Amino acid sequence: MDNIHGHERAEGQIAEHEIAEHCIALVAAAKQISTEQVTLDSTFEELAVDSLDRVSLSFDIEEKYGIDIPDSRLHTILTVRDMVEGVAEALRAKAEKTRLKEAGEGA
Amino acid sequence: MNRVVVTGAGCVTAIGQDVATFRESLFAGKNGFREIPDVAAGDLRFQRAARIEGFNAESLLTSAQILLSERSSQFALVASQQAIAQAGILQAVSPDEMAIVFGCSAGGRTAEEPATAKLYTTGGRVHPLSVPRFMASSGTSLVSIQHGITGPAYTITTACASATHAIGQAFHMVRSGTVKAAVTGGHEAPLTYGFYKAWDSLRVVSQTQCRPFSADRDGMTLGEGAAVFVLETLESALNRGATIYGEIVGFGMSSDASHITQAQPAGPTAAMRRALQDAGAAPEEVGYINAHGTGTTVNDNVEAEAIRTVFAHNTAKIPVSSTKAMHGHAMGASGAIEVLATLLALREGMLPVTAGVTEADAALGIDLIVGSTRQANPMLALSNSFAFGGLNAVLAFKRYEA
Repeated sequence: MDNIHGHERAEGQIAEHEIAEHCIALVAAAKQISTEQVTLDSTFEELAVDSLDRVSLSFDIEEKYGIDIPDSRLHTILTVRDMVEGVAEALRAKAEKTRLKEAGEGA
Repeated sequence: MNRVVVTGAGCVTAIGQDVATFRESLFAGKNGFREIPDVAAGDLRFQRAARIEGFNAESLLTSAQILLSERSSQFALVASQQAIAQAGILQAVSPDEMAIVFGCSAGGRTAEEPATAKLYTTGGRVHPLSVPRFMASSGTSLVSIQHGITGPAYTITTACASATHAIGQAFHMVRSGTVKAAVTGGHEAPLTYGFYKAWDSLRVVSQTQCRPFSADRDGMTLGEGAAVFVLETLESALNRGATIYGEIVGFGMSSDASHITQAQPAGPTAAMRRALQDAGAAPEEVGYINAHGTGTTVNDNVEAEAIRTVFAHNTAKIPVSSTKAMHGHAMGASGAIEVLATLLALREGMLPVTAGVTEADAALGIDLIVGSTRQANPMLALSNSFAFGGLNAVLAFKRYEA
């Protein structure tokens, strides 16, 4: 039990760091700017990330992590940091779903 | 009413990815038919198509344009860049007084078909840029965005006559003064596995190569590409000293109202007559016809019959060729590529050969240009497009002499 818990926490920590790098790289690629021009606090407005960019970015990130960012959450993502948090939440939701499923199967 | 001239041209075709190379191949009688890759032996009844090889979108377009487009729109963007730059039209005419009218029949197949195939087989999701890439009107929008052209802009789809209808509409708008200039033509990139299979089922694709109006013709050769023109008033072209390719003098349209694939002579006859009437020209003034000439038994029979009806006792004196024997049948772009061939023929006094044909079908009673390019100095030429579903469009061009 401890082992499983420890493993999940480690995965979460690595993911946070990776997610940030990944989101910055994706946003920079979408807007064709260097990654140095994108920070966690950059707003989509100042980066000129439009609605089509937003759905493309969410598609790319959802495909990459096998997650689903709900529409309601998508509308509240206004900065790169929001994006990272949105992904982290979705990853946690996915892990929770997997655990429940495994627990169900185990029972 | 304004006189309308062509002052810029661009193309991406299987026989040249710019006008100079296209011209060279056209007058050399060189075809662009190439083996179809990645299809198992025996899967299709035909092995070749007029495919464009070495089209390097990355070197010609921005990465933002490439992200938003698929092959058909990319052809439109590149051909438009060539035509607009050559005409220098944006330095002369305000972009809000310019139109864009393109023909496109198949839409964004090269993006749509693989995405849909994956969805239906392995499942998963579809990329959000799919819709903008699939839209048949995407080429028009992307060209408008690149050049800031804000006047009337739309895409016409009438199967194999799409580009001819488009150029005719643009001609009408410039002639009437609705706009001062227009960017017009057609673009198509339909050569996907599903498209090949669908045409294979119709059994109208040549197992060898397209030989229009030949006694031994056995069908068409599928193709892809784009050709784009800049149209403006003669007055504007003269005022700014623009180079003039030729003058558009007439446009005729009709519908067979008969059959979804099989053409009938009455429709093509009416379209040619209306183009001549619009041009205020008599049939005997025509010195060259760039035929629709697909190379199928039915099309070529019907088109020849229509030509005989319109030109009567003069028929034998009017040289006819089908340049599809070189650039293939590029569907909705075909009419535009053939307009380019027609303009070059008029300007240079050289009539393109129906490449690959050794002997015309004598029963057709037309003067088919075979063997080699023919020297002649026609003043007036027609470019015919007769689409599946009986939608017909004919443009009349006049050689421009200063």
